[in-house]
Amino acid sequence: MGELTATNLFESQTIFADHKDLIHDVAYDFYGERMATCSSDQYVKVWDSDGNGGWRLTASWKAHHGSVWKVTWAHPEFGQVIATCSFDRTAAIWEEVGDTASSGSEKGLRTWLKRSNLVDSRTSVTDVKFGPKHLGLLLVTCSADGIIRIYEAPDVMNLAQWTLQHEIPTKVSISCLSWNPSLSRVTHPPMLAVGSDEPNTTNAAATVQSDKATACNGKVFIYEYSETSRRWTRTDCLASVQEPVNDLAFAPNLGRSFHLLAVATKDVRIIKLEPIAESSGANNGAMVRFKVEVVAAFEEHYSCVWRVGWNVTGTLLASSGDDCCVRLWKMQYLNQWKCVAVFKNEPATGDSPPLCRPSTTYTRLAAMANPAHMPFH
Amino acid sequence: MNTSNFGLEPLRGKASAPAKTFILPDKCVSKHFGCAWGQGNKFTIYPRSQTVNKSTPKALDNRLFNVRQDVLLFTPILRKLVNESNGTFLSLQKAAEASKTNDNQVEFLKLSRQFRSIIRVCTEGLQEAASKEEDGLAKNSLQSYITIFYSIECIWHLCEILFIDNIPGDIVLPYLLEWVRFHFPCHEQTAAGLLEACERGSEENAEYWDTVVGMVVQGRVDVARALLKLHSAGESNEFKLVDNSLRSMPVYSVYGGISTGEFTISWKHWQAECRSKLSSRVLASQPNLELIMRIIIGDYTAFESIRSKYSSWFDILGGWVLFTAPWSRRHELGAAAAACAGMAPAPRSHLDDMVRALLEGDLHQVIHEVQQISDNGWFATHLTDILYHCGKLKVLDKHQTNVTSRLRDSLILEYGSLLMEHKSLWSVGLSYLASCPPEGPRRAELLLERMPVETEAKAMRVIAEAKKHGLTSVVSSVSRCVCARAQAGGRLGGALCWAARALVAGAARAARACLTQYAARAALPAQDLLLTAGSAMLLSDTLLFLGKYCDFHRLYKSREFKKAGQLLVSLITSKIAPDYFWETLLLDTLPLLESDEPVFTSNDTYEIMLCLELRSSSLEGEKADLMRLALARNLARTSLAEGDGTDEGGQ
Repeated sequence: MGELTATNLFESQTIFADHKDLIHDVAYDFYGERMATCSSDQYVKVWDSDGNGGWRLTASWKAHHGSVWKVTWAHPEFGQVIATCSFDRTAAIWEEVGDTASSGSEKGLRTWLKRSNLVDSRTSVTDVKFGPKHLGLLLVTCSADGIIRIYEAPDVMNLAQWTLQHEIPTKVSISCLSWNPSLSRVTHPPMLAVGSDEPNTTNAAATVQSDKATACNGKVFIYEYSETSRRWTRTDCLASVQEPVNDLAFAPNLGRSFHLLAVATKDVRIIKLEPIAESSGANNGAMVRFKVEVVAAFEEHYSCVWRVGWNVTGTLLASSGDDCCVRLWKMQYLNQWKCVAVFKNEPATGDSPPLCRPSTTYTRLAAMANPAHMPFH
Repeated sequence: MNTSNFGLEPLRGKASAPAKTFILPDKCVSKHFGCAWGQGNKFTIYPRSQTVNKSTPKALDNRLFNVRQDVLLFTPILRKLVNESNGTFLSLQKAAEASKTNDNQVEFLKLSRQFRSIIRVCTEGLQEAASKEEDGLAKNSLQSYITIFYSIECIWHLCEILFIDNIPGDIVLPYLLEWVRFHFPCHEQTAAGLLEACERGSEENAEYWDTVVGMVVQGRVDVARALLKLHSAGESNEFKLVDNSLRSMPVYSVYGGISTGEFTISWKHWQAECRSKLSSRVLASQPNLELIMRIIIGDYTAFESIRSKYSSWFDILGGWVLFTAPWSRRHELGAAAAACAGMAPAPRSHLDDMVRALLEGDLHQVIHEVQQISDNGWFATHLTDILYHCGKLKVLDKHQTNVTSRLRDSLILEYGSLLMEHKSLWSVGLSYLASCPPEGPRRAELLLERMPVETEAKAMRVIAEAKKHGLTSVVSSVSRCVCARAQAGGRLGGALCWAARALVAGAARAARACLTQYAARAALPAQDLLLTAGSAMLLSDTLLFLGKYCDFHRLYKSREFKKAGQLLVSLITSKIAPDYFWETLLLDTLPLLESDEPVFTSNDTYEIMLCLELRSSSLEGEKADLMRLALARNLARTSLAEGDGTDEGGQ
């Protein structure tokens, strides 16, 4: 008799990435059909789905003179464009040239041209993200010296020309950022969340002396753009996050009045930001912009959490931590969050790992023997 | 499986059990991972390190793991189930809409039966496929699908009896017996065989007594009596006594003209009679007949003794209710279920839990259990939806607020989103999402605009579906992306066409690309489109200009030089032409200036001269001189001609 309740079966496929050093980031394009990887070997690679579940390497090039930290795709409306940022203090914009519509299988490697090199930063550029497409072609970078830079391509046809629109000093080291993807420009002004990985001891002092007006020990800052003043201003600092932040991500908005922000810090946090109407926002003279609520804090990784990511609809959150696990979190209908799956590294058994070739077959993942799961029948 | 706090555990999907742990393959040596989401439930796990030291570790792990959910519903053989149930689901939504004004219980029952017949067809298909399948592994998985859908049908049927069907007088027994007979047919074939052979002395058959008892337990009293007659001692007093007892058993019928009270009295009287016959020990010599008598007086120990002959307690549930409380109403079955389930210390199966929860009327728990079936939520979604529409589902959270609709919505959203991942079932998924506002359409937007559009035909299909559900943002987003791709591929006509569809500023970009290309290579793309574009032309100045310019070409080609000339002059004087196009525009006047018949009036010529001087930078010296010459000559001859004209007019 078969199992009736074997829910959540997963299968996996192994791809041999062939980077000469550690991989730092993997990013899918808008459709999930292309994948870009970047590594400490200073190379960026682009992989294309062959339509049958397999992945083909279609481009590989040396992109920077230092470790490439992050790679990100622009909306396909702007063409096949990626941005990278690196330890070499630059961020770069790359565009694929040639007919991208023709299927990759009959062609060899694709050509990616460097359209622009953004050299404003004096320290390592730690993160780079394209803005939501309804704002035009925007790019934001952040660097280890704590400066957020927002660039705009005024002419989307000309990716060589980027103007530095805003430079926002934060005075703390910034490790990651995320755009709020809300499409409703009327109710939600353009919004960015940035996370700091500044160690706590120095930060406390730095904040007190340099930033008295917004004295706050939090590590997550919210910036919003005001149409009237044409400036980005810090509208909130999340006091609930006190530990260094490694990653953060806004969930898709889905027409909600509030925003959900996932934060990777010493645990996985999900924070709800509810904008407060202007009239009722005055509190002790200072404007309080958001009602902030930590809706979930998962300690399950028992260690530092490095990455968080939402699926397309924002129903599943993946997190990875120092415990060698990737966990999936899902919101149940009563808005409670539950862990639905854990992906674990098999404990090293001593023998050397078998060499792997890129394969197109998915194999079902073995579930760990768990006495709580008795087979039925 | 969580059973300890039965019924108390609030519904949280798979929450009660700890999350499953999966092991990454190939003995990945890395300690740290990153993760990135792709489309749908696909994501990638990659080894990474946070340390930025220069020394490269010896054992460098460089593999990516693409992980995706294994979705049973995407098995080709189950496609029909997904498609057909979608049709029924949509009819149900319509029926629910209609039932707001009038009671529609009959319609719901019809649709519930429709669902069940879809499941049954599916199970039959699976059985057929399994019997043909040679490969052991594939056969195994088909078998497990059969188990899954068989259980689903069984639960759905019981649900239908208990919550959807309109049972007269609420007396559930006949329906319950029908359910048992249908889903747990036991001894039926033996009984039919014995009756067909119709030989005295049938007790020779090893299964004879089991069959007779089985028929009694299933409530098929007539069959049992017929079988008893086939016993070689069938004419003896003992047999006659039992036969008599079985024959005289009162059967309740709502339309029988007697009240439940009266029926209860006659029933109790009949059982007392049976009990006295039993205690008179006349049957002592026939232990099997004695067993039958003990069963029909509802003796717990008798049922307990036969329990081991059946694989589950469902088999005897019908008999137990029949011989202990035949007047049971729908909501009174919990105790019977508990009694039957308690007869043997069998390990509880998942089906047990579901049936128990159903009979206890704990729908909350039922849905909780149903969600754990690995059918990717097909059953949970459709069952919850129909129960919700029938008004039978009440789920309260810890603050006692009614969250039923949230539960239903979340299941439908989840199911719809899942189907959106499939390359041909996505439109089905879309219909689920669209039926569940406000979040459904928002999710549909996100998923639909991320639908890979490899071909124009696919793009058209996506757009058609988006329009059907009023997702205008998707229409423009998809058109823009296809437009951008066509343009990158140098197919400017296509780009223009998609830009017009998108009704967006992207059109300006495409139009500009067209003009640039024309200025460089002189071939205007998509002329037919531009000439018939209509109001779409108003999207941007550049596009409008391109359209007008195209129209000029048409007029010129059809040798309507006067009209062409007028249009060209208006294009020049309106000054909407982009800078890079001035040269082309001015040079276009040359052949008209040089034509035999004067085309431009003297005023036009002045205007052109003015523009030429204002834009002198856009023309090279030699070309400008040529223009000036042509303009001067044209001015001369038109001035003369016009002078004549006014004179003539004056005469």
